[in-house]
Amino acid sequence: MVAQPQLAGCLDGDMTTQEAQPRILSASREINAHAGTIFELIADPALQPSWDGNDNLGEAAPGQRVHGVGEVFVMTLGAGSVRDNRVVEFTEGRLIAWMPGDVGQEPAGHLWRWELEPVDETRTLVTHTYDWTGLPDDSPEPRLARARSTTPDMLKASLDLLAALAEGS
Amino acid sequence: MNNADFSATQTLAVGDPLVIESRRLTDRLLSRAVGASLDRQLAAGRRPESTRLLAARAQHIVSLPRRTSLAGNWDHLLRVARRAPSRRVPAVPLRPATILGAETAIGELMECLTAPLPVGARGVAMASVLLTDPTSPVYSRRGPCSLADRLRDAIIQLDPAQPLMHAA
Repeated sequence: MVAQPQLAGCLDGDMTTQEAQPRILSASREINAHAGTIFELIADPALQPSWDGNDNLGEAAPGQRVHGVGEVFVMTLGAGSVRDNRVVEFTEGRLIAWMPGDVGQEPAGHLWRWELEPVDETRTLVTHTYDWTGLPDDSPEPRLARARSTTPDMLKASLDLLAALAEGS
Repeated sequence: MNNADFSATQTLAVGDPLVIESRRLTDRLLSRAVGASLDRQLAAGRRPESTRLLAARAQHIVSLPRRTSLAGNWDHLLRVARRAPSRRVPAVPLRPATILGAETAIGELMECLTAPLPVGARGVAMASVLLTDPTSPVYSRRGPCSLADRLRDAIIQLDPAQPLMHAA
């Protein structure tokens, strides 16, 4: 596998200042595993800390495997705080996205997405996206700081950990 | 979508047939990675032909499998809203009353999405954004419009003749 250089540029003509920070981060890689195998690792919240390259997740109770939009899974972060994660996009085996928020509260505004595209029976192109365009500028500073400090390399670290797990299973 | 909104990295296998069509693949990856942002632009009324990425996104979301999947998402949302709070998730942070109050409109939306007929990309984008926007009435009390009203707007925009009607 060869890492491609980071892409960051004008995608559709709407230029802004060079100083502005990207609010949609994405990383993709091919994983030598069936899409279903990979998806199980993502859709079961109890397994998510095992591939978290963001060093953020603590633990999730078993039995929360996600099956569709509208479901909520609960995740305890490494720092001890608890998040409700609302599933907002879901296609079994292909797509899952969720918006975290404080327990019982409305979503904070950022979103994590995983998309799986089978290349063939044993290879899958996986795209992981962190989108914080919906996070209001008046959000609590620790949350904004965390969003600002998230990089594509962190997403790639999750992808690599996920690949190691999926390819080893 | 602008350059400040997006940063990406990708890893591809050398010799992979995907690399041969790297530009097309890059377009596809970008279109997916920034899909929610593109959906918001389409939902707001930006024409698909405005940019290459918007056109790619519009083409993707109007496909029948994609629309069927979106309809399935709305169906699952309804089922979740009907469930009583469980011991495992004692306080589901959705707005079940709002969702169930819009059940008729959701049913109508699902029917339009799954019909094997052409649809307008703006309507599909509007139906999708209602699920991914944190300020959507599905999740938030802050919005000025009801969920049923927002769904009816999406249903209207699913009519592929809508842009022509506005132009007339």
